[in-house]
Amino acid sequence: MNEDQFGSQVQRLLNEAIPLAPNAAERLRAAREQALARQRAEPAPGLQWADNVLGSLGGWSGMSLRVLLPFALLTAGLIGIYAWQQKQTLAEIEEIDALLLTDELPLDAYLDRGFQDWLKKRGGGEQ
Amino acid sequence: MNRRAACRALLGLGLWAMAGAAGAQKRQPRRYTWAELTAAQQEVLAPLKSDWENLPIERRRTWGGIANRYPKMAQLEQERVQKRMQRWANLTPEQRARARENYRRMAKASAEKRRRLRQQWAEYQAQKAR
Repeated sequence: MNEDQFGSQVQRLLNEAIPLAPNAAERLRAAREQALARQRAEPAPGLQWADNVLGSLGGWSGMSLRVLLPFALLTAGLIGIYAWQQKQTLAEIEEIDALLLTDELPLDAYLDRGFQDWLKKRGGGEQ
Repeated sequence: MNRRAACRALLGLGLWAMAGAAGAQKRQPRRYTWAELTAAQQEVLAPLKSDWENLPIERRRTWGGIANRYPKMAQLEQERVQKRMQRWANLTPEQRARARENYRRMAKASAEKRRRLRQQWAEYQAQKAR
């Protein structure tokens, strides 16, 4: 019998309601609480914190659907946007560089601060 | 379906998507060594050959793009590119950024104003020489 078959067998047995005396049920519940409390005390502080966060978000199963998937999509999206933006910036730089390298005016016209100031002054004076 | 398995599968899918996105970004830029350029690109960019490996990869990519535009340029423009290439490559990033900024601003001016710029540049140089 493999693990899955064994599991379903156990599940079936457990699902068949076993009549229990009220005090036996109470003792089982108390024992379960105790076991859980002991288990919770074990994880390292970081894990515990993560567990608490998870708990408040609906446990692992709730977490996977409600948080992990959107988070993964968001991250992938952000990386995509960043890559796209980088590409756009580079494309724009290439465009302007090509224009500068072929422009009627020499590079110095765009590099010379004096000329830029002179143009501004003249532009101001003419208008 | 087992919830835990579903959760693991989803987590795996998410990580795979993230790794894929990151990988796509890494894979895309080639190293752009001189040897990786096409013969046509090498011919256009010949003035930069000696310094090529020292250029940052984004600059090399930009130059590669400019070399690809080169065949479509008019002859006069091609001559200008050849003449200006080395100077442009040797400027500091700040100087290039300033020149681009000035270009963007001046390119916005009207066509008539842009036509006058050439004359104004000559005037300015004459004044400076005086």
